[in-house]
Amino acid sequence: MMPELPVAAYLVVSVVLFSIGLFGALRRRNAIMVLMAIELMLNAVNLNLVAFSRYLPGAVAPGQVFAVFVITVAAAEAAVGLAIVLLLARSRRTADVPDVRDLKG
Amino acid sequence: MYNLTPILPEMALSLAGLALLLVAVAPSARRAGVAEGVALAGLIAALLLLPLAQGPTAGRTGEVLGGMVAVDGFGGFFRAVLLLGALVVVLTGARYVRARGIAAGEFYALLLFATAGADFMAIAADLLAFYVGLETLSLASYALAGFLVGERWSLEASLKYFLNGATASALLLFGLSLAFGLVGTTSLAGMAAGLASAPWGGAAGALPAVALVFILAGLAFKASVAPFHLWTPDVYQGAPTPVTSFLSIVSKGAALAAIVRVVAVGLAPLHVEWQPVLAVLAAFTMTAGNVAALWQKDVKRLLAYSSVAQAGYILAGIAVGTSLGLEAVLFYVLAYLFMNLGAFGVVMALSGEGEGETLEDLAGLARRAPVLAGLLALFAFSLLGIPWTGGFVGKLLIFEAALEAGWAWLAVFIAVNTGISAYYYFLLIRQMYLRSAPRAEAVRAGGMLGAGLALAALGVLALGILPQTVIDWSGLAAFAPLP
Amino acid sequence: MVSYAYVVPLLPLFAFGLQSLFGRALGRATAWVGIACLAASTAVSLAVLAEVLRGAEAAVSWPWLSLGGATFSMGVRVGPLEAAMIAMVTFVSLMVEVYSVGYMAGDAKFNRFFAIVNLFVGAMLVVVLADNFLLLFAGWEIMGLASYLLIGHWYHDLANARAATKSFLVTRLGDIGLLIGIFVCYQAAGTLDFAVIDAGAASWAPGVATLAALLIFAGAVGKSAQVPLHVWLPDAMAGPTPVSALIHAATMVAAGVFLVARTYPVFEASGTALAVVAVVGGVTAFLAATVGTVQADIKKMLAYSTISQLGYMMLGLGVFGYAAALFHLLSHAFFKALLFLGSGSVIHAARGEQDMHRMGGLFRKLPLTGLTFIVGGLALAGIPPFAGYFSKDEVLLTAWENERWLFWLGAATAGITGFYIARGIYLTFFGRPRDAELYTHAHESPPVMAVPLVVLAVFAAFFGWLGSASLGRLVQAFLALPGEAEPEAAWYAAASTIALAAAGVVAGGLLYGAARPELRAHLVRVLRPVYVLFREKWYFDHLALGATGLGLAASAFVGWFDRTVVDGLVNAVAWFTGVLGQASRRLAVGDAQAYMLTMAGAVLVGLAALLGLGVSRP
Repeated sequence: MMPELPVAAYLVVSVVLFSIGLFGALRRRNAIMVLMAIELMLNAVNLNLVAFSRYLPGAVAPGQVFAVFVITVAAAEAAVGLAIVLLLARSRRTADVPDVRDLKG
Repeated sequence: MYNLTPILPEMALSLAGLALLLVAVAPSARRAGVAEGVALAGLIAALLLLPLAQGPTAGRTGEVLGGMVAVDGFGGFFRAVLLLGALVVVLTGARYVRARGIAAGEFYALLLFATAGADFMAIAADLLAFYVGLETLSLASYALAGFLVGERWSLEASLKYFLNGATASALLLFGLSLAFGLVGTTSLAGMAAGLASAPWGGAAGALPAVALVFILAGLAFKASVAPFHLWTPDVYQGAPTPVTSFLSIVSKGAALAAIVRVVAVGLAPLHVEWQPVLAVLAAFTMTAGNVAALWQKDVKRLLAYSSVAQAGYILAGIAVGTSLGLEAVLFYVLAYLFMNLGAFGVVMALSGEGEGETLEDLAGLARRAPVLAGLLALFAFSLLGIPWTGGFVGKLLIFEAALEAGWAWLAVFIAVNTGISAYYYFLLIRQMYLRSAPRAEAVRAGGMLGAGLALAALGVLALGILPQTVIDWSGLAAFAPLP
Repeated sequence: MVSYAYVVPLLPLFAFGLQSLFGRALGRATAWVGIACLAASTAVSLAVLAEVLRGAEAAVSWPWLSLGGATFSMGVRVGPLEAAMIAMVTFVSLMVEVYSVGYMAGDAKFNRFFAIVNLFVGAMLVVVLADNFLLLFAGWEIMGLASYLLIGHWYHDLANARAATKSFLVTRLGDIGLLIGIFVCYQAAGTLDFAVIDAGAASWAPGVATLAALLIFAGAVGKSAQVPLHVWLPDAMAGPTPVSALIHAATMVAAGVFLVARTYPVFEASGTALAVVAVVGGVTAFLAATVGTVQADIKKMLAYSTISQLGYMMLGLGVFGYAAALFHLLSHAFFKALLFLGSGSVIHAARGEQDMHRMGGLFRKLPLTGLTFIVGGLALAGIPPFAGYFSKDEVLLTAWENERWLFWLGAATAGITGFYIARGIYLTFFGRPRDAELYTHAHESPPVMAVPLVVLAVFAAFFGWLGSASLGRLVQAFLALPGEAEPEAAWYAAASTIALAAAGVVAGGLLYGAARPELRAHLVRVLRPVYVLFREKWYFDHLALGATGLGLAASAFVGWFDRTVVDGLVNAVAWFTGVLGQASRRLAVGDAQAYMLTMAGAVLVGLAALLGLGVSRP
């Protein structure tokens, strides 16, 4: 049997995934793309939760249940987000985040 | 078998919310009136059920809903504040909702769901319950902010709130996942115990601090703590005013409660780290809020920055980390509830009548609407901390707590900030009392709106004149959260 | 009676409640509701004073709030200082309110005026009677609020509303200092009760006492318009004249002096602080008096005179002349209220004209006003036997004993004072009428205004006797701290003061009364640099602008400031805050992703702080 990967390996992947997501959320213009980048960040979190639950004694249930909750909430979040973007695109003819900046100061 | 008594108020809210969804699809000409009635009934029922839900409060954390929620004085206090806040929002906002043609059924349903979520944040004893409560509140708030679908600003507010909020909650979750990885449990009590015995140093040595920073970032966003507050003025200005009012008290109140629960209790062993961080954030928050408010022309935006500053004062009370500090926080939150809801209530009384929401529109209000002007003056005085208002006593207690715990510099910061804030609060007074009115017609405020404003004014004065009575009667001093 | 002293502030506050709730129903009767309550309050105060004169003292206190270690209480304490102050405040307020019935008769906001005046009187009495810092600060703040609303009373003229804001902001600067000073006292004494602070101050570390005293003094400097926070008081003359008389001459501005007296043990514990008080007071007295010599506006002249006299009081406190300073506070309240009400009577007769250069010869038209004004003027100038002579002399004597150069500064000020008040009297009441129309229409004020003038004139003339050596220095003995030594009579000091004051009066009288106008014009030409220096108020209003650099003057901010507020040193503070605000606003660029970037950046800073800078454990 292969030796298991150390938990740090998962952590590294999750940090990379989170950073890519954060970069995307900050840099992409289109609101849908920003939304997807945020999903990436959430997936990094899920990876953490599941990896930790595998390694820590007695943490299987809470870790995995937490991950399921995060996935569920992310779906609801996407629904709300898409609805907002849709309304915005309909009224302003744009879905680009930097274009929406009437309120400031 | 689970005992559901502790969450009866939230169940009442959810049931009323479901009923409101039915109202929303029912064909009725008097839909708005029915929706207001159902929303008020749900909130009043929740408030009435609260004593029952609290029951004998001692030490029942472990058994409630599998350890998901804590039934303690702290949670009960915050639930009362949040429910009362939502109630005043409905009372003062009803006329605005009707005047702007907002779909009442859906609006109030989301409001109640959001309140239920906020409640869960205040009583959470487990990260899961906290997270679900937070997202219930957040998702409903994103939608509420955009409810004036025909208006550009409202949608913009909604989009900004959503994007920032989703990012902040990703940061928060990342922190939570790391904290979970350190202790292997999602229970807050378990987390505190695990962190206390966790080995420091080594490869994992930095992880607690990293987790703390990410968790704080997410919570700071929700509580409008600088520099995570930048969404606040935009969203407060663009959102429908009842939603602004709701965000400023219910959403912010729940976030502050969560900071106490998750950071001050769950991460208690890390207090060496989070105390100075919170203190610096508090000082930065009050300053950023106050100096930016000096330049505002829109009343809602001005009050948004003012509420940022207020969160700074409250955060200072949490940062000092003593039980006196916590008591000061509870008192201040109560005072803030009344004074801020009252201020927004007056704004709604004006905009519900078709008046504008800029400072210019307040000119000469004392002549046109002496009662409304007097009330707004009272609320502004309280926000500023003029004696014999609730805000003054709240600040006094925070000063006392800070000085007693040796945080003199923080007290000085609050004092200087109070001085700065006097300018813009007096700008409100000046507009109303030392300007001539461009128009003559009077502005009326009666009915539910009047009741809501009267309640707020009464609260501000009672807290300011008879603080001891309020403290004794509410048993404030015994409201420490259970570990 | 003395243990019921707490009703003294409650009565005017009760009147304020009645007036603001039922003002519309009461109509013009509003004023008399206030006057009735004030009269009752005055009666109680005088009864209290009578008992305290016989040696009674009282302290009543109710616990108000107790959470954690400290208990905050609401209480009053009555000793000689408090008894004398409440008697003076209620009495002068009563006179001013009666006068206002006539002066404000045609005003559209008649009711509001009386309501706010009563609020002010109540707050001032709270300040005087408070037995702890909390209650004092509460009254202090509400006093400021009332002053703000009354300065801006005639807000249809935007300049008045601006003056109100300026006065509010400038005094606010001092108030922040006071608040922090209260913190220091709380930290040092563990309580806010004056009794405990007074008893313990001597044993505080010297640095702590100095810090506390200087911070408290900052509050006093703001309220009492001492250099460099004096710039608001002349602007405050935008308020109705009775307000100038009551709040900006007799009572509120003296509250700063009272505050120093109230916390005198803290000041005594620190020699440095007392020295600062003395120097600030002396310099203020001198500078303000010089500026007073070139004012054209009768009220502005009196405002600078008030600043100058408050400077005397501070000087007195600073050179250990506790009783002398308070004696001067009381006598100043009478004669300065009289002078302001007299100027109000003139302005009333001149239909709102305040420029003395357009008056002249009014004595024939306003004999009663003129006579009482002259009595007040002589009292101010320190000519014996009027009130100001005895009290000012007492202050200067203590200065002579303790700090010789401050005595000469004060004596010079006395000469200048004599000059400017003589100038004012001659320009207003004597000589040729310079404005025929104004002169023709001038008429003596109605009795409701005349009676207070006469009553106050009696006090301005005779109050000083009570402190004279021949009557055993009754006032000083009553007010003196235990163990306070009375200054020794030094005839040459007293003589030089009188001589200087008299010389000033004579010079002013000769120059403006007897000499030909050409001579005056010639003198102004010869003394042009000095004249400009005085007229430009020693360039105080420009000081900060210069300090922050001409480059800034060009920036957009200054435009904003000129429109909304402040000059003087306040500019610098406001400018800094404003820039901070602009920077803070600029963060809110409107782009959602910029906000997210800020959040991410803050997270990085947080990580760096906790991990990199070693805040966290290794």
